[in-house]
Amino acid sequence: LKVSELARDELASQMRRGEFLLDLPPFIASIRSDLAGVVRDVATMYGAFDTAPPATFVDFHIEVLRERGPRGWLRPQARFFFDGQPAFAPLPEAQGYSMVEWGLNWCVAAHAHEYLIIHAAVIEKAGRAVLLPARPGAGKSTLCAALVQSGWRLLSDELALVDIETGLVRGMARPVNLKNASIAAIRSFAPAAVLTSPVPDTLKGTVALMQPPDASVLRVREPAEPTWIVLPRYVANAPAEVVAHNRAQTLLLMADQSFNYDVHGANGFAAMSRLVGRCSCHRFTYGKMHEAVAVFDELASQEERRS
Amino acid sequence: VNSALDSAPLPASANTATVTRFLVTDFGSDGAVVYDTASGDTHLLDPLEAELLPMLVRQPEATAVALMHEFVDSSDATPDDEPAVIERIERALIRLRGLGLDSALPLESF
Repeated sequence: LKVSELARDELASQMRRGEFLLDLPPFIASIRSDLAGVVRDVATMYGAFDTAPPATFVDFHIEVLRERGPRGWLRPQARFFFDGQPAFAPLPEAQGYSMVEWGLNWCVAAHAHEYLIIHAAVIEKAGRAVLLPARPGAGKSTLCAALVQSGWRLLSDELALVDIETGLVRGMARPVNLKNASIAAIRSFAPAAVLTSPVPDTLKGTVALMQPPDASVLRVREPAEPTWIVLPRYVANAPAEVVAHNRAQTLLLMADQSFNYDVHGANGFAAMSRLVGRCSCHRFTYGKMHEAVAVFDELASQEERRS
Repeated sequence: VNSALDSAPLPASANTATVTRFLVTDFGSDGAVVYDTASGDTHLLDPLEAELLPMLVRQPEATAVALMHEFVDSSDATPDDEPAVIERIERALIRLRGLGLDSALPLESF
């Protein structure tokens, strides 16, 4: 059953009772919430995802619940729980759905050690994946959103899950996290993109989530072959430029951007070496999204001709 | 439990097993990356340091001059280049030794 096939009242009821299980391959998440805004945004952002049957093993039990007590009447707040335990400080209720997304990221990054997990967006075309690792503010999510609105498949906006055995990369095709100026930029670039209402004054500024394309969600179980590692950098009005990047430095950067490289020890180093070894590595500067998309399309075309 | 473990015979290979402390991924002209399994640290090496590392592992006590001769023999460097090569090798040796990479323990490459 797809999330979109649940009536809104039924979804709200399941989420209130803690019976809503979301299939986020390769994980199952139980999401409980008593906040109408969370129900609304989960329905909108995850409409194309499957729900999981009641008896399914759950990887992550998360809850975002209205904070009780007198303060809740003055300034309504929400708190995130993982496995029944409170985690993180409460935030304004309007940020409830953002807490679901940030909390899910944290659950995966802190617990899914069967994968080498890298802070990177991942997109794919013709079976070949581009990893976009970047520090905050580099324009990774904006570029990722523009590319998936232009025919690339979304695997992930935040977490690249590298299978240590096969070297293939997976993602969960979850919504793309947009911040500040990138919200208007994506609205202008792709007017048909579905976004949540922007939430101001979060720790990351104003945030909105972009719904993943249905075509990406339909193929969420398909891994892809890492082929390029591209370090993006947005510079206003700069022409799109892609240049080769030192692979040894790329390996170090990827290790730095990994959530669990150190957990895997020597196996993590070997897996990271194989990952970088199989990819061509580039730095990419862009200032206009149409130009950026053209560069990535050309990259994919060149690879297709070569193979 | 402890006494049972204490009295258990050591595996036959226990005294002969080699310990690979450093894992190296060599990217040629892009340099190399070394993982130290003892500390968990990852180090970036420039191309010269990467080229010197196996020489240093074979001859941990080698001087910069000795390594320079080996290096010159296996590269395009001419005798005129020797002072500059020695200076660069000395700098590389200081860094490699500072990272603990002059150990005679074997290396494993990826």
